[in-house]
Amino acid sequence: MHLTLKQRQSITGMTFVALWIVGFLIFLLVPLFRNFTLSLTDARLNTYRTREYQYIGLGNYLEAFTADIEFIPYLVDTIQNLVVDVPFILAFSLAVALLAIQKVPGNALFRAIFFLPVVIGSAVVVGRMFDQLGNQLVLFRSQNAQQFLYIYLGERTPAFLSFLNRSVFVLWRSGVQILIFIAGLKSIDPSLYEVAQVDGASPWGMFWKITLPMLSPVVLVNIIYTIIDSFTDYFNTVLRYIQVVTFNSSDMRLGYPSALGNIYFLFIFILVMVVFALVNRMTFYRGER
Amino acid sequence: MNLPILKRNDMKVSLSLQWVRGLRFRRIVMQTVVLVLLVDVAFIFIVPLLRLISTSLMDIMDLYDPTVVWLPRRWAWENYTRAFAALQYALSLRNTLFVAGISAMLQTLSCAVIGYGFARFRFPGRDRLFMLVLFALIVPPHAIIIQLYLLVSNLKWLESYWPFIVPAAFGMGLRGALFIFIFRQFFKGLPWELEDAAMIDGAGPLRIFLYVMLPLARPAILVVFLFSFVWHWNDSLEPSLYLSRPEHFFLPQRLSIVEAALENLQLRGMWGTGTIMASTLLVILPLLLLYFFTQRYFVTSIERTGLID
Repeated sequence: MHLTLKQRQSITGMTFVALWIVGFLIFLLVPLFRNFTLSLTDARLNTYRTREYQYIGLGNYLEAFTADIEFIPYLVDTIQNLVVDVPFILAFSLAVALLAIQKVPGNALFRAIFFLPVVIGSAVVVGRMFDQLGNQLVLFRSQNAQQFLYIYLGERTPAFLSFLNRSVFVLWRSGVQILIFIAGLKSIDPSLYEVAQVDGASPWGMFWKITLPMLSPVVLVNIIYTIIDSFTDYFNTVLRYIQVVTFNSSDMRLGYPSALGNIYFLFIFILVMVVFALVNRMTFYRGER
Repeated sequence: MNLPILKRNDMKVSLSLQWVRGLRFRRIVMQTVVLVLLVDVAFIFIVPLLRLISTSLMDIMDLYDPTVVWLPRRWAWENYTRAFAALQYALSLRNTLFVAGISAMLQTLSCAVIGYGFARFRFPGRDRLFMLVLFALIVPPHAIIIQLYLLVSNLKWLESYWPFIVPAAFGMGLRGALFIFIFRQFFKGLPWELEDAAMIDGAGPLRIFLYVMLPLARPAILVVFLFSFVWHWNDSLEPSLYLSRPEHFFLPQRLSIVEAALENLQLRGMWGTGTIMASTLLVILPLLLLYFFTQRYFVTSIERTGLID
């Protein structure tokens, strides 16, 4: 059999990718599909084995939205956190990345520290640290500092402290984002800045006119990553709830948690698509004119 | 006649000297500001770790003593001996190292192969298929966990390490899609002449991949391996479902057990805190060591992966 170069190329390419197609089918697509069919039934663990369950249509989905008093609040909670956290994480990680690429003595050490959350900032460990140490984490551990705060904030001090705690927690989740921003900043052509400098641009102006537009594809990547990360996070209340419904409830239902998982996943999917479409419009791509 | 010109030149020289001095001064000021900010941010990142270390060495007296902030009065090393025993450290460490190591290696290799296929070959449906890779990234494993559990139990993989190793070998597993993405971006950035030259020399696609592309991909391999290893190390959802025999447990699972066991003590005060902190530190210690030795390459590698197109 004789093949053209093009055909041979495409066959080789597919061979390289075939591994993933198999994995995708077995470990994702088929489970996802089965999850959907199971979510339309009233199966429980014992009836599932004997196949004595019934098809109940969208009953589970209706229950999630109307009868379940916990699911929707958790979902709303997750969205609220997201709206607060995403801009915060993005602004912080961009600022840190900008700082980290400055040529100052010891910046290698600082970069190593900034990546620390990526290495140890995993759910299990961070959870322990924040659970156990609680308020002590923040800089305002000492009584003097707290009293000082009370003078200025009065009643609102505990709220302020918990906000600080929360922000430290959020900052700990921005390791990957910092790293992506640094990679993006490094890929900006330095000659752009030189030209701008010759034309008398200020650093402030250069940031808005060069850095941010050139970085906008990276900002998009980071927004999407942050959304996905917070939706699949260990501390995510919806996921925890689904887990509890699946494994810790006495009636061992299978259909209902499947439906919850589907709703949640569809919700993320739509949200990511919408955000992508919105932000993509504001993104500047180098190749295009 | 020459005098005025000389004078003017003189003035110019002194002016420009002043200007240079001003610039240097401004740069020093800027550098100081940047440095102070960097120290501030680094502080946020390092304080929890330092606090973890310091608390792990405190006994109950120090924990309740408000005058003890960072340095314990008595180094409570017994926290560590207790944590070491409670975690069954040698055994759990071996389990975790084994599975995280093998999974990360397989995942790095498979994702490199797949990423290369997406980056360097043209075949029908490629871009649509790549959209599916990105789609795989946004499905949280929790959403399909029942099906995954049923799949694993049908394959008779419960109580074994296969459910962690096999998906990794297929480029799935923990955030496999992200790693495929990283490799694709990296390979896309390499010059085409590499393949052309190797092809003219008579190398087939597999040889080109193994001997030309993979050695060049060292920065991407390092980054992906480290991520994969760390995420496998810290994973807690799937191990808690698939493994129930204590002798198979990984470190994070052990940590949960230790914590649950000490919870009763916690209710009556801070008796367990030191030991829990010591256990936590023992769990991440190998990661810290790994990072300590690789961070130099890690930091420069990230800049060279071309993570960003």
